[in-house]
Amino acid sequence: MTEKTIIRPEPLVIERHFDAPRAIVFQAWTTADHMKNWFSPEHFTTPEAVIECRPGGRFDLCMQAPDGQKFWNHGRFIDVVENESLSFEAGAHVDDSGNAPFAVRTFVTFTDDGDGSLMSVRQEYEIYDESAKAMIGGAPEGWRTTLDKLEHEVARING
Amino acid sequence: MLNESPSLDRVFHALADSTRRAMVERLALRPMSVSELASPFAMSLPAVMQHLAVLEESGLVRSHKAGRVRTCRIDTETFGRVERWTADCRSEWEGRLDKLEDYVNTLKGQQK
Repeated sequence: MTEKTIIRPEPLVIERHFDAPRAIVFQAWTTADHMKNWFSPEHFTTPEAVIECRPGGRFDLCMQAPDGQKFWNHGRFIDVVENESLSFEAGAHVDDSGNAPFAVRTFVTFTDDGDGSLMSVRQEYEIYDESAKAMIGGAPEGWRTTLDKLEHEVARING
Repeated sequence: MLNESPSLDRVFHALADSTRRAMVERLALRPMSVSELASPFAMSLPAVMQHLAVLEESGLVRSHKAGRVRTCRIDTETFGRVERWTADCRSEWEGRLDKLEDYVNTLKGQQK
């Protein structure tokens, strides 16, 4: 195998306040039925989700585009601390030689914030292909519209 | 050359974006599915699909759907049109420079 340069673009960091206890937000992140209601960008849906909320457990989600195309994202939980934090590694598309061309780790923390809670998402990237780096550009907007849906879902759970 | 202007507008518009150029570079390696192209950034999918639509409209990229997978590839014919356009511009200039060289040589001859 040839030596590859690892590119580490600037991590993506997003924070959001919720008018709900952090246990509710944590629940929305760690239950498949809830994830199906929000974990996809605007105009997309999440028809399928397998969430095994424990270290090493599956974090598999299927996003469906408006035109019907389905995109599976396979991941694994790295660490889970109930109502406090969770992290997962996004599944890479493994190429023919068995190499994953990238790694994405997502760290989510939940803290109290006044009457509600503050959620922070930090996403770190390792890329082995310079041209793949450009694809990160759309991630902040995708996350923003996704977290808008999370806000609705949290409000719905919270009653 | 003029008749191709509208389609060249779309081609150069499509290429006037670094993300779309990066997508073209990746597709130049080999055909890829949309999900592979968007990897590893699931949240970028909407943006990637929008960029792909622009690339397809320009003719630089073609895609076909087999089952649930849409595969994208470079359309070399469109790249050929871009190449011909730049080659035409270059040969036009080279022609003029050749004439200039001849003219300078003529002047030199007259001064002797």
